[in-house]
Amino acid sequence: MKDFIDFLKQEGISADLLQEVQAFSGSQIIPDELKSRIPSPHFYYYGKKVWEEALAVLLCGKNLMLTGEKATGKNVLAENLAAVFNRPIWDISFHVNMDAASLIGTDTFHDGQVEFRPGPVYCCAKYGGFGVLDEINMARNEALAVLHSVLDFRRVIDVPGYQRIPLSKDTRFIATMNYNYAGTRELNEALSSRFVVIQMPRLTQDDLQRLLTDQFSDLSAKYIRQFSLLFLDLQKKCENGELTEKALDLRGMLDAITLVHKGISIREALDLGITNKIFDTYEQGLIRDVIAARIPAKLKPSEVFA
Amino acid sequence: MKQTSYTALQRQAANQVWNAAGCYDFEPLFLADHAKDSISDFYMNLLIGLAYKYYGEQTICDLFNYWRGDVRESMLDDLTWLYLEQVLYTLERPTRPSMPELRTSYAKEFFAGEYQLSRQEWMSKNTLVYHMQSARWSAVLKSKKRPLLLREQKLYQALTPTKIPSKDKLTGTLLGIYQQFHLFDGKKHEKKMFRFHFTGTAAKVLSRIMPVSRSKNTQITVMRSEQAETLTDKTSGEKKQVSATQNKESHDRAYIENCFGRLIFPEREMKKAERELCTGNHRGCHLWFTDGKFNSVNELSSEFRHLQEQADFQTERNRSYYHKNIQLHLSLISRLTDQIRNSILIHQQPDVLPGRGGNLDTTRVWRAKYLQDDRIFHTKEEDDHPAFTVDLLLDASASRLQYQEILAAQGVILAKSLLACHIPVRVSRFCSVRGYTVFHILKNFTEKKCDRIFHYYATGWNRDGLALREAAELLQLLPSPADKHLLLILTDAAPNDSQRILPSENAPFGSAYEEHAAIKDTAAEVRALRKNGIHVSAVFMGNDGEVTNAKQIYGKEFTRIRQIDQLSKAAGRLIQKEIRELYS
Repeated sequence: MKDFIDFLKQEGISADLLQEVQAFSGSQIIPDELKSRIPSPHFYYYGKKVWEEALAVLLCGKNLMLTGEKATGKNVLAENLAAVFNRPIWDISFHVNMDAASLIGTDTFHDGQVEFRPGPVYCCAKYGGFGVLDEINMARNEALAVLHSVLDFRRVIDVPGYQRIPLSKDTRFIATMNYNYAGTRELNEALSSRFVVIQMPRLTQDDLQRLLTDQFSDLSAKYIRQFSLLFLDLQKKCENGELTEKALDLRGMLDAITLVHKGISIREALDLGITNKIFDTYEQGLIRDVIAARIPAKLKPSEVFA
Repeated sequence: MKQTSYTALQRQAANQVWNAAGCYDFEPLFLADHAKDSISDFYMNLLIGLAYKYYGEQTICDLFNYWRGDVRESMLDDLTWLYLEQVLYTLERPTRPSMPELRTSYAKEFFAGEYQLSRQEWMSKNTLVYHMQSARWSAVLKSKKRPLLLREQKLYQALTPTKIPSKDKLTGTLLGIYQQFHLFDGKKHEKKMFRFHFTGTAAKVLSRIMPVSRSKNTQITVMRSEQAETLTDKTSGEKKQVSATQNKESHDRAYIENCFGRLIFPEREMKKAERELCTGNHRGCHLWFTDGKFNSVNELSSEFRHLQEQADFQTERNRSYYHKNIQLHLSLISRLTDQIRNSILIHQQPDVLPGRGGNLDTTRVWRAKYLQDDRIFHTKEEDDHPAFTVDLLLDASASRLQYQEILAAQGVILAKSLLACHIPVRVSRFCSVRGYTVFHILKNFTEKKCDRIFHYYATGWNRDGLALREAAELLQLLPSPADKHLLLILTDAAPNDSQRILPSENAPFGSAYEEHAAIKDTAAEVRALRKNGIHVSAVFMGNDGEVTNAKQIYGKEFTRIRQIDQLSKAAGRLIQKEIRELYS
């Protein structure tokens, strides 16, 4: 936690905001069984403006929606926020078959009786957790209607036949969505009006370089720059519709660099981390061209690391 | 230089250029696309892209336009690229570690390629260019240089600058070099075509004794896409008036049957349909529904056999184009399938049924205990029955001549994507000749294969209004397997037919079926179809001036494409929109 506050100070986040965050994070005692739900993120989100906006939104008790293309750091920021506010997190990945029961909870048998089994939204409400509604626009609007009373001023879950549960004052919901995913639907007005929306900017070369420096302390400056540019080249190709967003895989690139560390040749490692994840041979050709335009074929792994 | 469409290899080459340039909003003036996975082509495309990156599109276009059409164009292009190679390599080397390796590979391929050249290829090479290239690549490989003449040495030094010219000075520097070495004096010296122009009596005499080609609009011709570019208008002939005599009608009917294939519905049914549909603006017109098959091929005259051979050649060209670019096409099918499938999954409502697994239905729990009925859960069942069908209607008038192969490929891509999503699709082409609006079904709803779509070819005129009436009629005669129906039409929003609109009470002199009258008629037909519950959307590909026509005919329900290879993507967007509306 202290590390995180130090990181945010380095990012230049306003001291007043940080003070409020610290007050919020220490305000409630977290039960032991939920402590494992407080994330300890592997990556930091970089970007002062977005950080300040997100912190302000959550401190005001509003729900946050992060919209942006793939690899803009939506989930990283959501996880970072839960960590900095020191709250347990419930990740809810939305899909087409999502229904109200998967969110709130469902009936089950226990000791010969029908009993309510709480869902992630219910748990968030009860324990003051942060609910990450991942890819919220992948679900049908009908399934999401159950969230209306949870997300607006009522802050309550009403489970028919059981009880009416008010949300803990610390509960927040962070939704993420990508408009460009194939087939995703537009969020209806009733739902989107219940969020404050941050449009996530694309990762810049500086952000990528910082990320790579953080993750691989021995990666040479020359190749930190080349890998960042390689990612941006792929990003530009996706933006212009020449590649699908599947090719834009930051995790894949980080995995590839890890493999190079273990002695795998760089082109092979990038194939394993990025190219081979695309099953379309035409797109594979385009990705290999982007790599070939930047990374020499005969480059030895030892040259990549300082 | 607007590229109409790219083959798979060209698209990959263009991607290499765009990637190096760092922007995608221009059509490259040059592309190296000689062989797949060639390092030479790759390095060359990288340089082309870098030229755009450092000097901008305008400078590059202006530079090469200086000698475009000059007799020495090819030589000047090659020398300029040699100069640019040195400049761009120097600029990019510090930021792109792959440059030295690519440059060396290019140099090696240059010399390796020398052994593969035929004598003719050697003879066609420009000696000066070859000497310059050879000197450059020897220097790159640090191998023994071929001795150069003093003038050549000086030119080589000029083409290997150590000082990088700025954007403003690039053109001036190169023109200065070419002027200094007497390669280009700044004025274009164009190679003139050898032409005679005769008028008056001489023209009359010569036209009698020399072979003359004349084509009439009422005659069917099947042409290659490349031949279409030589035509200035839809057809090379003027519209001819069609006189409606009984004898002519039966002759025309036989002509249409021999050109396009048998009628697929009984004569009686067709007469009835004509009585109902060929009214108003289409009075005097005829309908023809065909599957492109012929009843008696052997009895055809040589004229029609030739026509069929040409149509068969076009089918082969369509098929060959599709398979030549199979990777790109499979990629498009896969993307489109994903989009449509996801769209259906998200918007479709599954049926909820009682089952033995799933979410517990508390209202049925008692049945387990007292009735031993273990179906006490909610089970979701996705409905496999298609909710709607798609009719893809391709304009096959002569205005599409240039795009026949691409259009056929796009039709196949769309049909295969829809089939993969279990959406029944019918693909048809339409054109009008001698008063007949021919509706050729290339793929039926029930067909699983898309191979017949390659039988697409373009000829004749397009009476869009009547074609739309025929599309509605076809839905009655060969009903679709779903209640809802989307009619997608590829159009230039410029309906035009040789058959005039006959005189009526409102228009005593009749009028040509073109411009305002034809647009008004087509718009009315679209409205009528929509009124009958058929969703009509259009993919419009035409001039800026015709956008207003498209709006007038289709309202908001059209999407514009600028290149014909965007058809399947555009149609995919319309289909997704349809899915959204269908389930909302």
